[in-house]
Amino acid sequence: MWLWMLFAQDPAPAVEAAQPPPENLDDIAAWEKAARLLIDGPDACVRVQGRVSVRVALYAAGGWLSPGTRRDVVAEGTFEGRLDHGVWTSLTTTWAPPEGPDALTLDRFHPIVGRLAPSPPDAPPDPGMQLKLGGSSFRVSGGSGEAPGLLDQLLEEIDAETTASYTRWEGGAVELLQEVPLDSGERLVVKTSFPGAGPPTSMDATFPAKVRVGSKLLKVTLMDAQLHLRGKTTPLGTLPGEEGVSVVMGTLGFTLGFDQRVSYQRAAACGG
Amino acid sequence: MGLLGVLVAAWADGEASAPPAVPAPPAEPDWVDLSVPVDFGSAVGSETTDPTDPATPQEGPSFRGRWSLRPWLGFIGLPQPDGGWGGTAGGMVGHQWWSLRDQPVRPAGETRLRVVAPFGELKGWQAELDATAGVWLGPIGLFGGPALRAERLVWQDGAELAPALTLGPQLRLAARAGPVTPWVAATPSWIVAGARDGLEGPWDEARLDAGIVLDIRPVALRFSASSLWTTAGQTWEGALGLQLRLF
Repeated sequence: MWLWMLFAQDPAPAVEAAQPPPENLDDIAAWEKAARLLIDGPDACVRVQGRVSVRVALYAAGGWLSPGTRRDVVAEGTFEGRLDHGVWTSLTTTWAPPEGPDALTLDRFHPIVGRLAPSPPDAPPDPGMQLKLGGSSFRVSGGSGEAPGLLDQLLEEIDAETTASYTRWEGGAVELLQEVPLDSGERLVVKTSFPGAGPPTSMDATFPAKVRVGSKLLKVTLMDAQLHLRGKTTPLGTLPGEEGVSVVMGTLGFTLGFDQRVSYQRAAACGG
Repeated sequence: MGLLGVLVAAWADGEASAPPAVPAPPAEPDWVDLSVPVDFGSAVGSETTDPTDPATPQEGPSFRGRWSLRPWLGFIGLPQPDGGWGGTAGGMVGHQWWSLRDQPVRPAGETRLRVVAPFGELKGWQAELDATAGVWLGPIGLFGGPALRAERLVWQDGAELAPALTLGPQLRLAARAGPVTPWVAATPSWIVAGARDGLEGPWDEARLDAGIVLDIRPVALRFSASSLWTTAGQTWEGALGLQLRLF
């Protein structure tokens, strides 16, 4: 359960901007609610089209016999979806055929924005993400159930009991900062920006440079984990423009990188 | 009905029986452009960001380290007329670190502790600890650091390399050429403890190593040979390593 600790104090006084801060700068709950516009999508039904790129980077260890090499396997495609009041009622991706012997195949990607609706009961099971390296094949993940957006899913898994939130007026924009404590004692910082105290147009969630997660037997080191979301204010509401999720993971001596980039290109009202 | 009447009737009939109008295609919706500038980086670095765009910072973890534990099997000998040979078995624990960023100068390093016990015609023990750091300049790697070595070897014919602890700098040079990486290392050393005499010259003992790595995924084969000059003579050692390389 989330217990929100609200702090109206600005820990670092912002540089004086020409535009005065809004009167409701200290209304943390209102800014938190407004930030959901960016994460959930507009309170309407929109069709969106765009491009998606998923990259898995395989790092070979370096040392005095090797500088450390890297091998990237990429899946790229276009998508069309229907984001209906925060739920992806459809999200269809057309993946480009892989080039070369290495291939990354996946059915659907998991965006930051919106909530994935469960697959229809008669739909074939989602094979998840499969990585094919020459003659070897690895299944990375799977699942076709209902799922919140990536950031919300992460926050659910962190399951922090307290989150510290505060706002500040920085460069003509309201910045909402939410600090989520991690088991390691460090903090995940989620920063949402509202230019001119208007609708939110950017969100950055940044983990500490190194976080160790997992059980005692199998520890995974997450390096530079980060989520980014950029939005645009349009006649249809605040809509996503660009998403990026990336992390480098190390476990059992192996090092892997993951990067998902979603570029929303255009949108229209449903039924338009 | 005259001709005119027929024509008018046909015209009127034609009007009445004209095919229904084809329904207009659904209007293209009013698309709204969503493109925004990308001003954020990625943990996996420049591969996913536009390197020509200064607004996209090139980020990502700079270094990565890992521990390793490897078995060791080698052959050691004293190529003197009355010398002998034997094997060495043991293990090596090491820590290696390297730069994850694709940059022209890539720092890296490795620390290794190797402990082996001879068998066959040899008895005794050997322990080595070395820590080297350096850089990869493109395909060339240049490394240096201290090397500490302790051993006692006794041959079956009674010849002995008396127990001693030596310390000296180690220089390593490696060159990558596709899947092949030849390397050489030189380690002059001085006896810092033990009942062993040193060679006449600027150093008490000297060691030369050379090897080659063949990266033929999913394995990497490592061949190495070394020669050690001491007052007991020249010993040599050869080793073969096998490493699983999934990526």
